[in-house]
Amino acid sequence: MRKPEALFSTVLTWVLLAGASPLLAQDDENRWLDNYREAIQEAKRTQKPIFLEFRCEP
Amino acid sequence: MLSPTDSPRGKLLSQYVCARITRMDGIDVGLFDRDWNNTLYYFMMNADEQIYMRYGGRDARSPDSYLNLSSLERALEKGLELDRQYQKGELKKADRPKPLFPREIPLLVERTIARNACVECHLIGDYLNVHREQDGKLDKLTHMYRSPDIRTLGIELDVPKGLVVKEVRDAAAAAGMTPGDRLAAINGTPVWTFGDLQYHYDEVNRNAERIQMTVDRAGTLIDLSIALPERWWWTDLTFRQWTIEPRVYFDSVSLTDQEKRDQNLVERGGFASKVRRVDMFAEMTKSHELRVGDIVFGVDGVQRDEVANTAELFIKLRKTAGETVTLDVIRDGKRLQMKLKSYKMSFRK
Repeated sequence: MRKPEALFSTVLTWVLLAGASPLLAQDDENRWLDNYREAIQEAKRTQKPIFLEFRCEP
Repeated sequence: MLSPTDSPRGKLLSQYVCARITRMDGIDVGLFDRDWNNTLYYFMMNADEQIYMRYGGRDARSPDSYLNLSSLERALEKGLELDRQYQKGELKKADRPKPLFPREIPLLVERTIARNACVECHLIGDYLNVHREQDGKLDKLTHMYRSPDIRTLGIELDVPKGLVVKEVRDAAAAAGMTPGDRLAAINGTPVWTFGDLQYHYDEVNRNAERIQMTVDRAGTLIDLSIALPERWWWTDLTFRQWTIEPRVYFDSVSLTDQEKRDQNLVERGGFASKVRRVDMFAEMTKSHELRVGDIVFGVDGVQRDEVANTAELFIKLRKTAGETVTLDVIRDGKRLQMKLKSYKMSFRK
């Protein structure tokens, strides 16, 4: 395995995403669910569309 | 605070149910299919699981080449508009793709789910490909060279403006695309974001010779037929974490026909190429002893290929990861042979 390469790539990815992409930052005001089924139910209840984010945990 | 509710983005987000998923265990990955080497990816959808659009996508340069808060706001606005159309019955309901859950991917179950490890996106992509390889169904042009780069067509986007074109050259320019055009559809499928565009561009058959790109030019939709250049699907795979790609730890550039004639090598279809860079991992992994300037003109006695134009591309396409091959090499005018052991990455937790 290219462990140094993989490690470097992983670190770089997270540095870039955490630093250069504010998209990743927590939104303090809007509530974020962490359960897909719950999101579907909530969308049915509120008749809102869903903004679904998939991301890897650091 | 990046998106307070009284900010434009906060107001947009407050009109959605927002959900953040970090484990894929119970997710229908058939519905949410994408290039699995994206660290971050979004879908705008509804409670009927109808997907309006995607937001995300990356290229070999960076994970966030196409992530931008302005373009995200545009996408959020468009998502609300599409939702209004859907609720009024003005938007055609799409057929749901065939469901596929992580528990249906045997190697993922055996090596990840059974160990209660995190079902990460890139693991789904890798294990799907490993199964394809085992079943003889791996099409490397499609499954390994995923997410072709639109810049190969000569399209540079004005990223904050979403799909508005900033610069045009090469094939896109020849087809009539101009700066300021907004990409609106590819082969007839509407696209609203770079994520949409990249996903549907990826669906193009690798043997295709042309694609139809529809652009919105000052409110008028114009169909452009773009001639796909040779190896339009090729991308730098370095950032990808998977096991199906034979890592070779060198780059080479294809010889010109004249250079091939000078060396008395196969011209038409010959993949003879000159080494321009040797990765430090070649020595660390004892993969091979190639040097910059070497000409590699054969692999296991084969010198030509209908697709590959360099030796390393030939190995990546025609060999399996971990395989050892014999290279035919010209070094300082002398012909010699040497072994190359390709490397199979193993990155799983």
